[in-house]
Amino acid sequence: MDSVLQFWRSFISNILSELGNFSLSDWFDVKKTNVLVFVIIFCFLILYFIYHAKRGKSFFIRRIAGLEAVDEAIGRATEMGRPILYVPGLSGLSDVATIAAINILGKVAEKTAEYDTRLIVPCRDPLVMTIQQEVVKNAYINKGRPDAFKAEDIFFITDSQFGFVAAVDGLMVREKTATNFYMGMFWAESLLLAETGNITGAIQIAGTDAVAQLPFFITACDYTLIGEELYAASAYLSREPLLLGALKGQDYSKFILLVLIVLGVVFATLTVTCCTDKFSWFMDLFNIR
Amino acid sequence: MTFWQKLANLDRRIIFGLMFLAVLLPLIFPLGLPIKGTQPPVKAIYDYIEKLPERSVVLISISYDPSTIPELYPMTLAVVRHCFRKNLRVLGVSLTITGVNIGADTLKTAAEEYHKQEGIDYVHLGFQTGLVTFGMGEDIHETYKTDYKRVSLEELPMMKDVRTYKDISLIVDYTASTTSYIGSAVTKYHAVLAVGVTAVGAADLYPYLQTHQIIGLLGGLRSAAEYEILIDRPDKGVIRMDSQSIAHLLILVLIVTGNIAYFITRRRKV
Amino acid sequence: MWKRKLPLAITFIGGVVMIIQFFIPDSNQVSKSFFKILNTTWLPIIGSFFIFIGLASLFRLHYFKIARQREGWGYSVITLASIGGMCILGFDWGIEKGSPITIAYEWVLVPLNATMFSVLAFYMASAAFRAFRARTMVATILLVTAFVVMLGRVSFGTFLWENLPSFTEWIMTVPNMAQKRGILLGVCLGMIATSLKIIFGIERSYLGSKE
Repeated sequence: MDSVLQFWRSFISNILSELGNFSLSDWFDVKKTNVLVFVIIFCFLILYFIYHAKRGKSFFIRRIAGLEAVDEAIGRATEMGRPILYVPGLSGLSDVATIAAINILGKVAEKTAEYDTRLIVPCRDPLVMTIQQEVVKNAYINKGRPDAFKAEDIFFITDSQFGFVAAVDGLMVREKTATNFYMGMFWAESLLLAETGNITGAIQIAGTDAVAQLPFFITACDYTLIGEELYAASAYLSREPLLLGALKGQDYSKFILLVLIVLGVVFATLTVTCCTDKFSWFMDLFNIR
Repeated sequence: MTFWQKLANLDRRIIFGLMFLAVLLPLIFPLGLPIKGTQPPVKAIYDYIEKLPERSVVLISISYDPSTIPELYPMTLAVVRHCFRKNLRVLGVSLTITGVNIGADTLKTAAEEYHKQEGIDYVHLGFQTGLVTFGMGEDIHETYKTDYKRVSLEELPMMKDVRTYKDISLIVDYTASTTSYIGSAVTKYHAVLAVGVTAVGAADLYPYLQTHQIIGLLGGLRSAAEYEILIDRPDKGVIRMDSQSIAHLLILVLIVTGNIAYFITRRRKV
Repeated sequence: MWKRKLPLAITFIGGVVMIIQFFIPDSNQVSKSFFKILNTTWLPIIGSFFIFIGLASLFRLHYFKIARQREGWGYSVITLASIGGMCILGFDWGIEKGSPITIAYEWVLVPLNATMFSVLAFYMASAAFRAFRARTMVATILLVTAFVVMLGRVSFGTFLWENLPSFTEWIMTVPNMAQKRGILLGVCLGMIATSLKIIFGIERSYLGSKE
């Protein structure tokens, strides 16, 4: 108790002494000014488009094949009378891909509630599992089917990576799932899951931001959401104005980056070919060391 | 079904059987295939360690599971052997629980070969929850407090002058996928980082290599074999390369065969 | 109302504090103290509690399976017995080298994990055989590149052409790096946008149920 009090006393006195001898350089790393500028621009763009979305402006999103196929995949499982498997990735809540996977799960659960198709969601993280149970339960309640919700179909297996994969592979083979969704963060187990699903003849839709695993999903799955398409999924499926606005802001930021990259390539090429230092200021703009 | 149709739709079990033989037979009957040349990212790590003054500290971070031991353990052992040969001090940490024993084994194996003493020439801190990669930048003694055998760091002679990344000359992070040190140790604390990763994960790290955020990269079993040759201690990395070579050859043969069968059957349909 | 507002407020404050913290120089003592609290106090405590949540969920699931004698309930018995057994081994005999738990780790867990990982080799062969067909121009380019890279990574490559490993390295450091960087930029922007949506409370799916 004494050491805890001692710690808090020194922490507060540190704050006070820093404030007493306030100097901007102690509180702001000027080398990161360029990062701050970009963060402000990015936030501004997102908030700007959210504002316009709230005022009723509609935004266009290009067709994403993997998301268009979600309905078809769920319909297939319903017709065949076989369950749907949804693997929400192997990471925890601190991973943004898991949040994106939870969003998509909500939408998939609404459809399975509507069609009365069994939805199996094995989890590797206990905290993620509790949230997913809530999300699926809520989806079923929204669709007026609280009776159809089965909490035991959303379960924790193990936090061991390959133990989890072995269990899910076994599940696929025993339950003969008609549709498999792999959404979220995956590592080496991606091909194990996708290939086993391929062997069982399931239709497979994958989405991950793990760049190293994309080739395996693309090879073995019917549809793959590549990188940021996974993050766009919640906006795409729900068509909620706020989410669409944020997506638009993200796109415009990407456009700005594209322009900067093109300029950087041109200036770097001129620097090398014309043996001049005139354009080094542009490269220095992006330096944070 | 014609022969070519059967070939185009070859039963998986035949492929699995061929792969099993391709991996197993070279392990039983080693071919001794030569490994020529060294990739520049591998050489970069070797050269950096060669230039380190004696008694410099190298942080070996084990962030992998037993599943990737065959690929990552040979490169881990090779680098640790190199460090001990150069009379450098080695600090081991593990960012995964299962990596603790792997790290302990690696350090003990190499230490016995080079007669190094725990506590003086090497220390293994083990696993700790929290933002360890940031915590070590602030104070290793506060982040860990004890080594993995629960001996206080204050009692270990090696740890007396090792408190933050500033006291560490090189970090070598071994991981199955991504490294946690770039955003913390390199960006915030300007530490020097090299990464050992599986072949699949290596492709992702080339952007960081190009921007010099990592000084070198050991990607997969081939890199492990090359490093073993560089330190003149051919071991499991070199031995397993025979299997990898034959397995790759088998996949190439299967791809070519599959494509030939595909084109022939397609032409016949037309 | 507080059930929704409090987590949103905590997320907002936490997110904004971490963004601000990024811009504070490392020499700042307040920032150092903040990190110290986070690393040595909060995160280890929260991390440890997750174990109990996981154990509770696992026990609940398998207990009901055994009690209702559902299909495969025998495996549930094995699962619970294994968890209990490992806990007893660890608590009673410690975790030093040579103890029962390390023997179980080295002779059971390590081979099992390695076995599952090694299945990848077989699956990769069958996936490559099935997928690497020159159906289109793009597929052909993929096929040729995969061919070159695979050959360049093994000993046979140098027999065919001594510069093949260097050419492979060029493929990895130039075209591969360019596309990785492109995907990485997109992913990072998407991550930033999603994180900002979570911080500002636009994205609330992590809270679970809606009211």
